[in-house]
Amino acid sequence: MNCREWRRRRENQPAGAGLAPAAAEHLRDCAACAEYERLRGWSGELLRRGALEAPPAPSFAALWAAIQRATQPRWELALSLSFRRLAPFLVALSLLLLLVGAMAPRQPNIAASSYTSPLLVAGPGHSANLAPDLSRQGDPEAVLVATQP
Amino acid sequence: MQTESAIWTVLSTFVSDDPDQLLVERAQAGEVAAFEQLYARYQAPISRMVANLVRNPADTPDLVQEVFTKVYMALDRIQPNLPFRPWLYRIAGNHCLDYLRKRKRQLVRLDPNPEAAEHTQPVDPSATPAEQVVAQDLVNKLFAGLKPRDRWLLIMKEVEGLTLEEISAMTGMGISALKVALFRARRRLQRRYGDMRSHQSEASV
Ligand SMILES: [Zn+2]
Repeated sequence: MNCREWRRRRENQPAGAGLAPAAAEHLRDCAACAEYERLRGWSGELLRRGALEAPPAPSFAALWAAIQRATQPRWELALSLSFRRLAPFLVALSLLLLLVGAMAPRQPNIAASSYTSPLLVAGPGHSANLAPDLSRQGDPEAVLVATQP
Repeated sequence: MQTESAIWTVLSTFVSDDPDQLLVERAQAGEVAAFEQLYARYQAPISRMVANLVRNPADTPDLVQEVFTKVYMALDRIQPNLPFRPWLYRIAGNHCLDYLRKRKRQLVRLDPNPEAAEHTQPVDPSATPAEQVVAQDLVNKLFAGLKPRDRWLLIMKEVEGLTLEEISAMTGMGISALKVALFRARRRLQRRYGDMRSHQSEASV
C-alpha cells in the first residue's frame, strides 16, 4: 500500500475507526503518514469536541412562506411595491379631485332621463331615423320669439 | 482523468441507490409534500453544518431558510448525475461562504484587529467533554482567523464526516487537490492554535 492510497482510505473511514493490519503496518514504517495521522486525529478531535449545537430550524410553514415570497413573479412584486409607494399620492389626488368637485360652481341640471335613443325606438326591420325630433323641443316659432330682444 | 472517472463511478452508484431521488423527482413535479419530506430529512444536518461553519447561532435559522429557498428554486436545475445530498451541501456551503465573506468585510470595518478580542485560555484538544463550551469557544477563535474555504473543508470532513468523493463532487476539486487542500487547512488550524498558545503564554509572563 502506498502513501496516497493509505491516506485516501483513512480519510474515508468514520471518525474513531481502527486500522486494518496492513494499514497499521504502513503507519509503523512511514513517518510522513504517521505525522499525517497525528494531524488528522488532532484536528478531527478538536473540531468534533468544539462542534456547536444547531438552533432549531424554521418550521416548514415558515420556509414555504419564504419560498412563496421569493418565487413571486418580479413584475408582480415590482407592481405591488410601486403601488405601495404610489398609494399615498393616489389617495391625496382623489381627495383633491373631490375637493375641487365640491367647490366648483353648480351647472344647471339637464335632465337626460327623458331622452330616448331613436335607435331604441325603431323596431326591427325599420331603419333608424337619425334626424333630430324637433317636435319634442316645442314650437320653433315660439323659440324664435323668446330669443328675440 | 482516472481519478475523475472513479469519482463519477462512485457518484453514479450513489445516484442509483439515492433514497432522495424519488422525492426530488416528485418535488420537481410540483408536489409540496415531497419537498417537505426532503426538508424534514435534511433540516437538522444542514442546520448543524451552517451553525458550525458560520459560528453564529443567531443568524443560523435565517441562513438555513435561505439555503432551502435556494434549493427549491434550483430544483429544476439539479444535475441528473449528482446525488441530492452533495448538491444540497454545495448550495448550503456556497451560501455560508458568501455570508462569511460579507461578514468579514463588515468586521474588518468595525474592528481592524480581531486578534485583540482573544482573551480566553485555549483548551487542550484531549480535554473531557465537560469542557465542551471552552472547546467551542476555542474553535470559534481559531476559525475567526481561517479562510472561509478552509472552514468549510474542515467542517465537511471532521464534523459532517463526508467522504472525499462527496466533498469532491460538492467543491468540484479533484481528489488529490482536495487531499492537499484539506491537509493545508489542518496545518493552518494547528499553526493558529500554536500562535494562540504562545500569545497566551507571553501574556501570562
Ligand atoms: Zn506513507
